[in-house]
Parts: sequence; structure tokens; C-alpha cells
Amino acid sequence: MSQLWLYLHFSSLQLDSLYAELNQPVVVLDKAKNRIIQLNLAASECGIQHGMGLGAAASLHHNLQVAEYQQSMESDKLKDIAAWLYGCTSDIALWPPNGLLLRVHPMLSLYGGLEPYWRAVKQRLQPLELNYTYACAQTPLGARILARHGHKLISQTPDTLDDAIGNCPLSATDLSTKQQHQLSRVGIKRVSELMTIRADQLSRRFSHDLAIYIGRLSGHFSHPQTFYYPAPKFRQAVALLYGIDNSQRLLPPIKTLLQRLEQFLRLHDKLTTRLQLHFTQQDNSIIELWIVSAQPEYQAEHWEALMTLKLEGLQLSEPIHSIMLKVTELQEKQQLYQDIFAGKQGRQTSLQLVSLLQAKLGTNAIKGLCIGDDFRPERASNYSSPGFTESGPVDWPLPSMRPTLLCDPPFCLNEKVSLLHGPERIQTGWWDNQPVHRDYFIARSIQGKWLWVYRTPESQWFIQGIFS
Amino acid sequence: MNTILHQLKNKGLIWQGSTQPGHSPCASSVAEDWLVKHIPGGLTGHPVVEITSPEGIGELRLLLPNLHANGAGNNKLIVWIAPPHKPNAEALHEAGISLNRLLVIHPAEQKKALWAAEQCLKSGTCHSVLLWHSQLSVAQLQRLQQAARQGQAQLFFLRTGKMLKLSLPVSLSIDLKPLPQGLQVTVRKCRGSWPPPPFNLNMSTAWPRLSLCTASSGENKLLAFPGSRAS
Repeated sequence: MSQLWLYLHFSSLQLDSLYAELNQPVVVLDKAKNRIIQLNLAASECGIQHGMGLGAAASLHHNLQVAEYQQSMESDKLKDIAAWLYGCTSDIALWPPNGLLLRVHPMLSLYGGLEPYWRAVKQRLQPLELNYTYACAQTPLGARILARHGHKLISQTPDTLDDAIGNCPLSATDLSTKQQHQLSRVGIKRVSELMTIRADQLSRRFSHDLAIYIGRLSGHFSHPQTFYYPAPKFRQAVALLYGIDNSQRLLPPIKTLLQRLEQFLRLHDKLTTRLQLHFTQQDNSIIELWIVSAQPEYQAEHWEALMTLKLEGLQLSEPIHSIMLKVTELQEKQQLYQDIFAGKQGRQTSLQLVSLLQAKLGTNAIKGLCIGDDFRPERASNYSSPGFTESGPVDWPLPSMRPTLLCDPPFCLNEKVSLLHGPERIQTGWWDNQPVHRDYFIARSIQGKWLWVYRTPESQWFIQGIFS
Repeated sequence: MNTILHQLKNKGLIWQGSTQPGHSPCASSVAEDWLVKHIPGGLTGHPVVEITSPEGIGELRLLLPNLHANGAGNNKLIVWIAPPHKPNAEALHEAGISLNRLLVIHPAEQKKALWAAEQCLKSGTCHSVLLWHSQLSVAQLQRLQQAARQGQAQLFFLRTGKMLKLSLPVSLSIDLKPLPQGLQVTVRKCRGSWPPPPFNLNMSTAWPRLSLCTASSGENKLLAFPGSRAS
């Protein structure tokens, strides 16, 4: 069975991945050559064209938005697209900065033909809202030439494909300008003319590289590909066209990131409890933000609620230019148990409630309480992190008559009290250098307050607890 | 009906004498709700209970049987918001309150304490919320009451301060005063009925060491606190 490859060429990848409003003209500028290489519809309606200089473009519209071309951004975005496409096709090779090569022939029996396969791929790409051209060919390079030349060609017929490739000009190939110039001087202007020359003559008359290129294009030489393998972690960024200095306005771009995270987690059937956000400021300093949920979650909606609370407390000194969302810890999904008879009375589980409180009030403001095996009252009652884990049973005898509230630290007794019960001596802690030697009494103040007081050997009196 | 009266009734500012509060936070009635003899509905039958009391006279001990009963048989939380001191795990454990279902929240400001109380109440995962707060407006309290109904939780709102001139739209409001053998309870407001006359509560059975035994037997209308403790 002959091979079939599909090449997707994203002609305006950086422009499409920018977070910006649609109705404004936006262009991407190659700074080194001062040429406009990507532009949106609004820009082309103003008369701006590819290859224009910045000055010419700016004179056509007074409010033109310009972004500098960054190859790394396109390459990153390409990986995101590959990760997304991985859900419907298996072999994807990255051709940075803006091409994806799909190996089609193993997928055909799964989808039952090229048409249904292409429909599936197209449908998958639709929500990303990208501009792209595509073409099939029997070799990777053939598909690349066709797609880069602007074809939108889905076909399996070898003749059609060969004709289409043959008609492409040399400028559509990956040959260097020097090689193209060399070839055009001997009258070769199209790929078909180049293909008619025999391989041994090519390497003798031109260069060995050219012979290999043509060999790969025609399928005589094998052209091995490194296929994409999905990353185990989520890491995506969104670049903002203009700086945002209001933390509330950061929410919409974060929302899109969260939706992508939801897709990622759903595909992997995983949950997470922690998100890491990096905001890059104008001066390239980075603000790091952690969003923690006590209950593992994947839904964007849930994270959004926590994010809103977290952003309320965020003060921005400089405008933000890019946002990155990172998730490094993934968890397996677990079954949540719920009382079937009691039913669902509220909207949340207790862990969700804790996440919500922690997001607004800070992690340290929410505490649990646990008993420590110690005679010292301040150590017998401890704050803990609110985990709702079933702690082990208390298998040591607990003292009775303890106050409901503890003063931590104890404070001096300054009022007149009558001692009613006691003493109860607690003398311990000699092993950990915090020795305690106290005589405890239950006392009642004149106002009727029930206090738990103690006396040190130095006859100093302290209030340790209140029988509230 | 008079529209103003109607509005006031909807807001819960007035009520009719015969109506019974239709709310019960816990399906199983509290067997130990000993206050039910004196206060219509006891402590259990009111979604929001306001307690005005000096600190340390037994106001929490009064609530402990109810808090225990609210949490029995369900997996819900009890939340303490802005307590004046650290709750003592040993005492709470002894009172039968499960510590792993307990949250203590220390908000930075009072406004956040109210927010936290509202979230806890309406989440449906808490059976009781204890809130220490000095000042509450009518609107704030109405919100909390709404949240308590929504999440089927009970709010105990504890104040040490002076009497507020303003009557808050709570369903039960009691004042506590210390007595040698227990507490004097004055019901200032009880939704659904006239406030009963003040009565004295004898806590010496439950807390023998926290009462003055020498008190005269001439006290009238003494009511025994439930003997729930082994010691």
C-alpha cells in the first residue's frame, strides 16, 4: 500500500493565537526584514498586504496593532495543536514553526477512507479557529510543498497529486534562494522540470543536497519522521496583544486557558489540585500565582470561581503581557461517595468549601483541630490542616474537666478569683526542654467567669483556659 | 392585606403569634433539647440563634449538647468563625463533637468573617456555624438567615457586647447572665410566640465542679441540665 501524508500549514499561527479583539486590524511584523508577514481580515480590508513595510501599513490605518514575530511562540503553539489533534489521529510530526505532518495511510482503515478521516480532522481543528492550508501527497515533502503553496487538496489519486506538485514553482520548495537562482538560470522554474532530471545528474550538476531533496520528494529515498508524543504535563501560554493592568480583566484570557486545561485533563482522565500561573510583566519579571483546590478538579468552571477570588487580591504594578498556565501534579480520578438517602442538600462538598475559603481568606486562615498525646494543655489541643482525614482513635485516657476555650499563650491573672477546685498538678516535658510544672485550679471570678488558672513554682498565676 | 404589613412580614420583621417555625435543621429531634420546655422550639428549631453573654460563664457549654446532636448521624461540618480563643480539642472531644469534621476560621477582617459564614451556611455541608462578631446589620443578618435556610444549617451568633438597641431579625435571641449554679436565661425574642419569662438554668448536674454548691435551695424554677457526662 502506498503512503499518504497530509500536511497542515498554519500561515498565520502567531496572529491566530494572539488574544485580541477581532474587529481591529492586527499585523505581525518580521522586525529584521521590516515586512508584514501575517495580517487579519480587518487589516487586509484596509489595504494592507503581505510584504509591506511597517511605515506603509501604518499609513493605511491610524490604529494599527502590531505584534513582533516570534518563532518560538509559533513553535509552542504548534505543540498545543498537535496535542489537540492527537485525539483523532496518531502519527503527527512537527515541522516548526508552523507545519504539522500527519501520516494518513495507517488511519484510513480506522476511519473508512480519506474523506471521513479528513472530516474528523477538520472538525477537531474547528474550535481552535486557525487559518490553515492543507494538502495530501505520497511523500512528506510533496504534501509540504502543496500546502505551503496554498493548496487545499484532499485526494488519493497519484496522478492528481503528481500534477499538482509538478505545477508548483520552485519558490514553494525548501530549496535555498541560491539553489533556486542556480536552477532558474538553466531554465528550471517548476518542480515538474526538476523531477525529470535523473538523480545522478542532479548531484553531479548541482549539489548532493538537492539530489537528496528530490529523491525524498519523489519517494525514491525514504524520509524518516520523528513523531509527536503527547506531553504528560500541561503547560500552555497565551500572549496578550496589549498589556493588561487590571486584574479583573485578566480573567477572560485565563478562562480560555482553563478550558484548554479541562480538555487536557479530560483526555488524560486525570484531576489536579494545584494550578500554577505565571504572569509576565512588561519588564519581563514574572508574578507567580498558585491556585489550590482541596478537592481534585478538572472543570474550568470550578477553577474559574477560585481564580476570581484569587485575582481579587492581586495587585499589578506593571501591565501583564503573557499568561502561562502550568499543571505538574496530576491525580487519578476517584469515586466520590455521597449519602444516597440524605441527597444533595447544598451545592458543594466539604473539600470544595475548604478550597473556596482558602482561596479568599488565605491558606492559613482555615484550620482543623486535633488532639495530641501530651499532658501539656497547649500541646494536647493542636491546630492542623483541614483534611477531614479519619484520625486514629484516641486510645489514651483523656483528662476530664477541661475548658472549652484555651488561651494561647496563657496570660497573667490580674483579677480577684476564688479557687474552687484543685490543685491538679501537671509536671512533664523534661525530655524535650520545655518542662512544665504547674498546679491547675478551677476558679470563678467575681463576674461569674469560670477560669482555668495555674500557679507556677514561683507563685505566679496564669489563666490558661475559659470554661466558656 | 395592608401592603406595608405584608412587606414587613415577608422580611421577617413581624410574625403572627400562632405560626410555628417551619424549619428543622436536623431530621432527628434533639432528645436533649431541654430548653424546649421554656422556649418554644428549643434551641433546635431556630435557624439563627443570637446569644448575648459575658465571656466564660458557660455560653458554649450551653450549646454543646445541641452541637453534638446537630452533627450526629451526618457527615457535616461544624465551623467556628473568629472564636476569641483557641477551641480546646480535649473538651470538644469529650462533648462528643467529632474533631475531624471541625473547621476553625480566623479571618483577617470582620467583613471576611461574614463572607465565610455565608459560604459555610449555604454550602449544605455544615450543620452548625458559630460566629463571634461584634456588629451585625439587619441586612447582613438577613443574608445569613437566608443562607442558613438554603444550606439547612444552624447559625449561632455569639456576642459579648452591650445590648443592641436594634432588634435583629433572628429567630431566637437570648441573653445569658451568670448564676452561682448555672445561668439565667432571658429570651428577648422568639419567633412564633411571645418571649417566655426569664428562667434559671441549673447546670450543676452536668458540670458539678462549675457551680457553687453552697447556693441556697430557695432558688425557684430550677431546671436540670441533662446528665450527659460520665464523670
